[in-house]
Amino acid sequence: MAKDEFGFDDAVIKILTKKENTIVNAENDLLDSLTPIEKKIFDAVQRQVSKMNKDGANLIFDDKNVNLLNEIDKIIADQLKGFAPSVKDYLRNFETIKQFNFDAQKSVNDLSEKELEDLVNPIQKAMTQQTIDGLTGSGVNSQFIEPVKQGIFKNIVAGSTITDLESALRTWITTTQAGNSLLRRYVTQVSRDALNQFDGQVNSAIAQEYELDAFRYVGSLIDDSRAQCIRWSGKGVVLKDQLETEIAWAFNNGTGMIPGTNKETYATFRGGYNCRHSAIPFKMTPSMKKKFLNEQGKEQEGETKATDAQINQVEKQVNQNQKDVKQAEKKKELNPGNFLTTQNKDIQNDFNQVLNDSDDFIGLANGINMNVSLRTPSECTKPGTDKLIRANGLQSTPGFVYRIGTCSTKAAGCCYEDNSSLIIKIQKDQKILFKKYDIDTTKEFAKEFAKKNNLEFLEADDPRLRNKYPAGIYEFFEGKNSFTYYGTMNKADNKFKFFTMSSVSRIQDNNIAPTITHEIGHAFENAKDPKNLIKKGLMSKLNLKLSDAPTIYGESNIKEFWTESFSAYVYANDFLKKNFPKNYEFVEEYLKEMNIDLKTIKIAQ
Amino acid sequence: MTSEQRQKLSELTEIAVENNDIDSLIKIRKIIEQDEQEEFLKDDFGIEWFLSYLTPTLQDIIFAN
Repeated sequence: MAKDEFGFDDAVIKILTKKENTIVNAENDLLDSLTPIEKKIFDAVQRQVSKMNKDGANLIFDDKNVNLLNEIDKIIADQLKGFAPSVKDYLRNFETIKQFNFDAQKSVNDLSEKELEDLVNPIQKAMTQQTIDGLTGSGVNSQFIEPVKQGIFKNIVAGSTITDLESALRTWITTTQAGNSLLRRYVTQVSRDALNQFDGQVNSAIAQEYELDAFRYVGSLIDDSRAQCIRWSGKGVVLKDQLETEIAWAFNNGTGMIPGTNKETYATFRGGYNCRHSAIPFKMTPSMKKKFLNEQGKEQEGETKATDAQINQVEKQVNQNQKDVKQAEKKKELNPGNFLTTQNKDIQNDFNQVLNDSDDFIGLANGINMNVSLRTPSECTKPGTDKLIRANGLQSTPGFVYRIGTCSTKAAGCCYEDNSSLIIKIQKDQKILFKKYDIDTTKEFAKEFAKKNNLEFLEADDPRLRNKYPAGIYEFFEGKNSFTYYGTMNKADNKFKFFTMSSVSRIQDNNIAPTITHEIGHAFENAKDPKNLIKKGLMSKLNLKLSDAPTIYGESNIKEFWTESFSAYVYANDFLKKNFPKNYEFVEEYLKEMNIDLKTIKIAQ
Repeated sequence: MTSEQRQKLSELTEIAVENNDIDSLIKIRKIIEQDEQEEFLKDDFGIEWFLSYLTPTLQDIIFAN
């Protein structure tokens, strides 16, 4: 008869299949025989509890009931006698399984029945006795009779109704669609383990006795077969010297392995609890082993190639992504012909960074040929503008000077309403830093802020203010008898407001970044809401008045209301959200209405 | 997985983390998980190793997919 590559012929495979079926059928027959017995036990126990004393419908805890309870063991044991013939039939299967193993071993390892008898019979005897004890003796007592008795006792003590107790008895003693009885659960476990483990122990003993070096893993696979069973069935054979790593693999990657499974107990426990597979020990010839290992090597090689292909695919994706990121990171810059400055490269880079952090401002500016200039105060006059143009290597004409424009000495920057020119003024010691400012509206904060920055917080009745000005932060020029104010207390609500967001950064760090963002805000609104219709609509919808602006300058008109709110959103996001929540909403909604993606507006952290 | 493959995956993971390249990190995670299924014994190259590259936020994102 033709044999497979491991020396197993069809007849052996048929024997092993029959063996698997025998184990399954034996278990099913035994469990089927339980149904009438469960009913008899239930009826007998129910009769017993019906004799118990009750107070109305409730059981009482008295001597009579305790005595009736103590008779329950015997009542159940009497009924279980009817189970004995089924157990006897079940035990006959040990002999059948043994015989199948003998037949298989004869074919696979040429071991005679006679020489195996001595090895297997003691195992059969021990397993048979263990199974009898399990199915009829102490096991049934501890796993079924005792829990039922304890349950009845608890119901008596608790004064349950007889109906409640009967319902509980039905759950413990009978098997319904809702679940198995305690007895059936226990018998299922014992019967499954008994024949399977006997079979396994026989194979373990044969493997050790005859120093067999491989196990043929046989048995059918089902939908929920465990990972280790699928793996070993797929391999067909597990070599004895691979057992350690295979078992470790199963514990790490599989499920249901029995603790204590090792290379000695592998054939007994196999794929774990309730495993129906068999590990049949056999001797591999050197050529068979070589071929098997070669096949395994090829598989390994195939896996390596497949992994290489996957890694190559990921590598392409990673590289492409990196390229995209670098491209995106590459700073957009203003058209050189539209950007005028005499500042050094570092300041230009900082300036460019702030422009890049506000949506696609550069795209907007380049698209409409907006002239953007970063200039010293002297470069903001007409002659200064002329010089600035020439300093940038361009030819200065009156038209060009006019188009680039000038900026008032009082302003820190400006953006022409037709977006033809955006001017940012920078003085000698000023910087451009994209950073967050932690500010507040309390008087305490204002006083502390003034102190920290060497300014004075003057109360309204301070004689230097000649009662003309509100309380706030001032820089007083004694010799000139004049002052600059940076923020005031609002008389209506006693809240402090800075003059502009830029006041905060200029005082604290000599930083003009909020001015740049303020002017960018104007550029956006000029381009997308030139008639202020969206702004007006939103302010009305949110019930916002100019006096709700986060800064004093923001109260001037709706354009400054927007740009000051926008600057606060970028440089003092938490502050705006906490103190001016409606303005916060206004900024986000207005940006959305102008089709500006919120994600493109970088918030200073 | 060979040592060369591991080396390559380490490099790719570092680049992907740097670029916040979620899609690639998920693919790398799958290759490593598949390798863990194949390897007989888990060693120091596995999901734990991969996790060590990721911030808690990235871990949430990569393992939510």
